[in-house]
Amino acid sequence: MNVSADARAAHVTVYFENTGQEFLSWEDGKLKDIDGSLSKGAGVQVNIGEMSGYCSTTRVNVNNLKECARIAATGALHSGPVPAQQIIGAPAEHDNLYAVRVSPLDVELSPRISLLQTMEHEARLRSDKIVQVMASFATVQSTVIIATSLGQAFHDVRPLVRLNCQCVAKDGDRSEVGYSGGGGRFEFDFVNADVRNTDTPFWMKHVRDAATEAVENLTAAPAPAGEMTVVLASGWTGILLHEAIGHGLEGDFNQKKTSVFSDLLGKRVAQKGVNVVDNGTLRNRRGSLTVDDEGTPTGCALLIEDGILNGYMHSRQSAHLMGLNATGNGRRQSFAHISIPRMTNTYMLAGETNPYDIIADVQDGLYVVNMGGGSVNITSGDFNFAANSARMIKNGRLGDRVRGAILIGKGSEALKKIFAVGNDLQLDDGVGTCGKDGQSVPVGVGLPTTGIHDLTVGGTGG
Amino acid sequence: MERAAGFVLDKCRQLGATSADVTIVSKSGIELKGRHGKFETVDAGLESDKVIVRAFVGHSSGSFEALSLTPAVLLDAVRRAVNYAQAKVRLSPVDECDGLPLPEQMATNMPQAAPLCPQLAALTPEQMIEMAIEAEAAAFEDPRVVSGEGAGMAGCGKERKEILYANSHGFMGRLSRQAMQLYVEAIARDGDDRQSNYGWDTKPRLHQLDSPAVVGRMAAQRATRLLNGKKIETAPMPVVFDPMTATLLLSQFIGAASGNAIYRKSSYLCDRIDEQVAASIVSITDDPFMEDGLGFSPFGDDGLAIAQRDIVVDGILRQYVLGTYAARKLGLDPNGGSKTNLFMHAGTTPLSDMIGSVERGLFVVGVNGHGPNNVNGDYSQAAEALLIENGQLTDQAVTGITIASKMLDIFRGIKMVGDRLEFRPMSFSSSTAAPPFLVESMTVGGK
Repeated sequence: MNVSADARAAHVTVYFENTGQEFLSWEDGKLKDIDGSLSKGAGVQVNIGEMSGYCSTTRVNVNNLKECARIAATGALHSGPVPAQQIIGAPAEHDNLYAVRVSPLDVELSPRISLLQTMEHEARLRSDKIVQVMASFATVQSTVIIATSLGQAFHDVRPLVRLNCQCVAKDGDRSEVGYSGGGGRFEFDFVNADVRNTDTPFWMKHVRDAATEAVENLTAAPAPAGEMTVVLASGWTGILLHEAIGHGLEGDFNQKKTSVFSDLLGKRVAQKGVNVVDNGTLRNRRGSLTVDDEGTPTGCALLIEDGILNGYMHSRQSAHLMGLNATGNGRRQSFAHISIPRMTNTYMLAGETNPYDIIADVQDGLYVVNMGGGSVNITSGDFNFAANSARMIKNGRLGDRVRGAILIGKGSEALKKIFAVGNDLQLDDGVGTCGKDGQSVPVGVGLPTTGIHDLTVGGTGG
Repeated sequence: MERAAGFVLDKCRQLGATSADVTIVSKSGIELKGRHGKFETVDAGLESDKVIVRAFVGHSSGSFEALSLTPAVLLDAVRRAVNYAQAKVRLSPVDECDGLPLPEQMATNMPQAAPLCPQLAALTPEQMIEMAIEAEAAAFEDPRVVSGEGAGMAGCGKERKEILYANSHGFMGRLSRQAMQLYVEAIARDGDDRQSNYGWDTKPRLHQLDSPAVVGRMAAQRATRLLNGKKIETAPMPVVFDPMTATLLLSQFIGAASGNAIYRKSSYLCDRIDEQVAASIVSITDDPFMEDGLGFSPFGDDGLAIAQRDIVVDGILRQYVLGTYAARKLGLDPNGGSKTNLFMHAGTTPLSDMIGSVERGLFVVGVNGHGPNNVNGDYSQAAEALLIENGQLTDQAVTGITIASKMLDIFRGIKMVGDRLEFRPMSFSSSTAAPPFLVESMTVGGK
């Protein structure tokens, strides 16, 4: 802090991290991987006006941290004196959102390994067409200490677990894959929790979903190509929001005015009835944080209110430069990365329409059950994502399965073509990882069943 | 590093491992970014360490990674790796395919890499930010590129890595890598339409790197040519892939040829060795010893012997990319594992002749998305293109469309391959290149 202060820094953060991880994977009736890691390191971030700097080290000692501070304060060479960084407001501090009695890293190996074995067995029972199953279990516990030049210090212990199942089904020459998985900031026991009162344990649901997707895609026809009405099922399909508008509402792009949503605060960007939030304060969710990686408590940012753009997601730097409240969205992948504005759990609030009525209103369209990944160009607003599991809609009824569909559009236009928002908001099961500037962070998404007119579907079916 | 590696292998043996290996990586890097002609961000890492210990008890392995080379941390990593291996013995049926390569499969006579570029090593942060700002200024020469509020940015980064791999067969291999990167993100505007795109270059030697002016103009050209794009009708049509998108297709293809995808029955290339998987004018090679390739590797994964690998010869798939484990699962010999410097051989057709042969089609300059599916071989991506009409490349941009086909139909449908091959990696860790090529027909999804 002193080295940076000598360099007239407006705000300094020192970040210490100690992360333990364990990864187990099972395939072909055997344990494949049993890997662990321990990552210790620290870094210094310095913000000076519009300039920022970060430097990290794995050899954590006072001399190296001083060297980091000197490099991070490079901006001082390009700047006169600047006042201390002022933030006009920030979310209130709140309780730890993911206190666990037993760290998921302290659970014996044997229950985790037997779970993976059972998962493979159950997947193969679903169909004799399943030729390969990969089940894996990843466990992370990260302890961070964040100190700032305002004299604040934060300590946060962040558990994160994730279960995955991948099935490959084969019929003659044809092969298809299905994936499913989930997790969150839980203890190990979450794997046995009942999923939404269905008498199905969490792990079993994901085995079934992966196996079903692989087997059913064996008989799916190629998706058509062209513009059509699309109905998104609730849940993980919220990746559409994440790509179509979420990234475009991150503070850095708007402070630099490179986003398609720059300068649109207070303007209509979506149909009435569309409400979108980014909420870092949900208990035990994959995208949640008690404090962000700059020491700002997380909050629930109302991004779109009844179709009107209400706010952005900020790091300290972008909030300060835009003269807006901090939102607790300054995140970094690890101690080796600079913090930038990122999403936490981004979802659309429930509307009033019965999901069955949304489908019943569509003459000709596509119903997307499950999605793969996607991406977006911030400046043009062009987004894309892959539909891993989809069915045609004909005369208000679900028809044949189709495969290989990707959906594309411009976020600003797609939001205005939403014609129905279901009353069935569902958050995803905790599977998302978001990439930006080469950094990956865990995120959550959610969506009620949503109908959108005129999305472009790309398939091989012509 | 050698001492740390020796310590790890000794301790593994003492604690009960029957064999072991260790990978040590030390790296440092710095990246500077500027906007509007001014410095804006520095993101740096001092020299940092990583060790990965893999211990075997018979055919059962466990591995542990840590970020320090102090004896206490190394010993802890060894203990945990050995514990994992012992737990695997107890808790899982034996996996006969797990294990180090055979001693006779290890690399010998490893070629020396050329010495690292001293000018690149000596480059100061001040010089780097100057290069970035000069490149940005070159992009601003085009009046359609936003230079005030709402401008893009420019960056310059460099990275240096020392890698050591050793195992209990007595093998030890070392490798130093260094490279730098210069890039510009240009944002072009015309009325309400805005398009951003990049110019970039990544090279191991300062004198090989494109000048800031070239990188800046590349960004400006790539951004401005996509302005005022329109959607076209849904129809099948011929597609010419530019070098960047051709390279992405090649990367996707090689993913399907990886031994891991093959033994997991997760690839459309399963059971296709010696089959025609591409047009006869297509050949694909991986060359670990390519001079100044960012993927230069004197030894393969696990210290395996490695040499030039011809993956596809005249359209025929000759071999998969096989590491130790995948090779054993498939009952084949390993050929060094992970791809190194991968390229599609240059053909004989100048780009202009390729475009000249197309009556109506697309010159694709960008693809986006997670569309390619290596399991069933479906390919569907969002695309950005320029329209080709009557053998002429028009300046009409085509955006908001998808292109789709099957991977095998794309590669078998290659009618012409460009006569120029150029490596222009987008990151320090990739080294893949393809010349532009013409694909007979793909489904374009538009209106």
